[in-house]
Amino acid sequence: MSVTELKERHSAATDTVNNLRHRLKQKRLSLLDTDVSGYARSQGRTPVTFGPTDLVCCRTLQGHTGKVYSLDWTSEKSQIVSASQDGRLIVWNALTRQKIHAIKLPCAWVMTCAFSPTGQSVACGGLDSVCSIFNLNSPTDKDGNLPVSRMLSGHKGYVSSCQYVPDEDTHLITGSGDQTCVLWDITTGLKTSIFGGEFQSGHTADVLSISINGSNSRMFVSGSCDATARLWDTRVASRAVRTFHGHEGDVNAVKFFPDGNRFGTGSDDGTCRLFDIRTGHQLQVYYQQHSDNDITPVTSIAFSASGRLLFAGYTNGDCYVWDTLLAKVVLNIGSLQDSHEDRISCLGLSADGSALCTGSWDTNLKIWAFGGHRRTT
Amino acid sequence: MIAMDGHQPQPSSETLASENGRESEDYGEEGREKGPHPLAQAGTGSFPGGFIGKHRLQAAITNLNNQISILQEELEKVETIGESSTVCKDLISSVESIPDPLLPFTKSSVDAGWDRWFGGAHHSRNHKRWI
Repeated sequence: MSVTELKERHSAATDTVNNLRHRLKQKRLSLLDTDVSGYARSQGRTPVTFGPTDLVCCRTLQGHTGKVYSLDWTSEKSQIVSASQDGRLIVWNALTRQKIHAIKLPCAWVMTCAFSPTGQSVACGGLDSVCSIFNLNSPTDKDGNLPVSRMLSGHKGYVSSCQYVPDEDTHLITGSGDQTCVLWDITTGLKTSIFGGEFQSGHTADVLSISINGSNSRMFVSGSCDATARLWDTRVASRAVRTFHGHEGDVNAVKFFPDGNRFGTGSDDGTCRLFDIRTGHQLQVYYQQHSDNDITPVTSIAFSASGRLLFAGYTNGDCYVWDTLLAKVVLNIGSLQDSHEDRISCLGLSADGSALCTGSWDTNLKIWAFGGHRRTT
Repeated sequence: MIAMDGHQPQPSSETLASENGRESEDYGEEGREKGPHPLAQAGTGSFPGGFIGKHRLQAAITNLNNQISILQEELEKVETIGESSTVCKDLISSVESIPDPLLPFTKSSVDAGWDRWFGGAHHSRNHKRWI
């Protein structure tokens, strides 16, 4: 077949794709008879109200000497691992503020960190394109440093995010600037599956964030610079289960909703969005209009235990607490008296949902908990 | 967006390969369309006439055909999914059935572990000694 004929085929196929996309979009729009906030209001729901001392900064974890980029809680004990531009991972006892481990990294340009489900290991990744695993029970070397116990090599771009598969210390998923996500077998150090990549229906730009479904660990979602989020099934690496459109900028953060049937996103377009994985519906857009009309990118998100609250960190230092049902900002942690002095770069909720940890470019982490009187409804 | 003190990660070799055979899927729900993908511009010289040009074209067509089947599949599925109000109803009942330590109200009794950050049971007037 000649190049001319191939070009004609290519042109026809492109037209078909665009036509199908348009039809799909129109069909979806016709099914969006309401959003969450409209429905909640119609059912008589009112926004959550916080008193001035309800959400309290009860701990400040000081010890990093550079910007904090990432944090993760253990699933059992009240421990946190944080990654900083100072080239260290610190494992904290969040209750006592004590540093349990300070791990000097082979590559200082760290972007992400994660605790293993048992709390025995931590993982991190960054500009070296490697995901490094540290066994916290390993003996330190002669300089007092914890050695790398496993290096997961194979990405062709920076490692932007990593998360252990729940209930397994042996498997981990990474997202990368090479446009792919990888499921790793930590025991062997080998790739089990690659999600996306050349000529596959994967992301078409850097992957910035991933989140594994807590209710069904075979499913995970990824957010990318291509302005989409994609849902993946670890058993079917060849193509995404579904692609979620709507954002108009990089998707910097993705997080599964507590029930596992939905997920949230945060983007450079200044919005957070809530998507339903079963139907593909975009259920809500969370956006606060600023007086100067400037768009402030969202850097990180987290849901409270029930999903009623959505915490969203922004590049200007704000950290809005959204009522997910009413799409209203009910508090700005960034404006509270004890808040950070610079951008909140990462957020994480403790396993029992009783505390939120924020990490900031001011080098500190802070623990926030409910300190008011709970009324019984 | 990646911000690491001006040290923007270098695009990977894959990212730089603008003719990598992937049809961009970037469009917004609000109708925002990005510029045409390099591969979508038939006859503009994106594909040189030699073997590599042919190979890339064939790969791109295969990729587009895959997308067509995926989109057709999704169109069939979308006929059966129902309206968003059904999902919203399900969402609200899910949210309201789970106890939440960070909310100012609760349906069930308070778990003692929720207040461990304040050294046990506390009252708002005692905050200062814990901060």
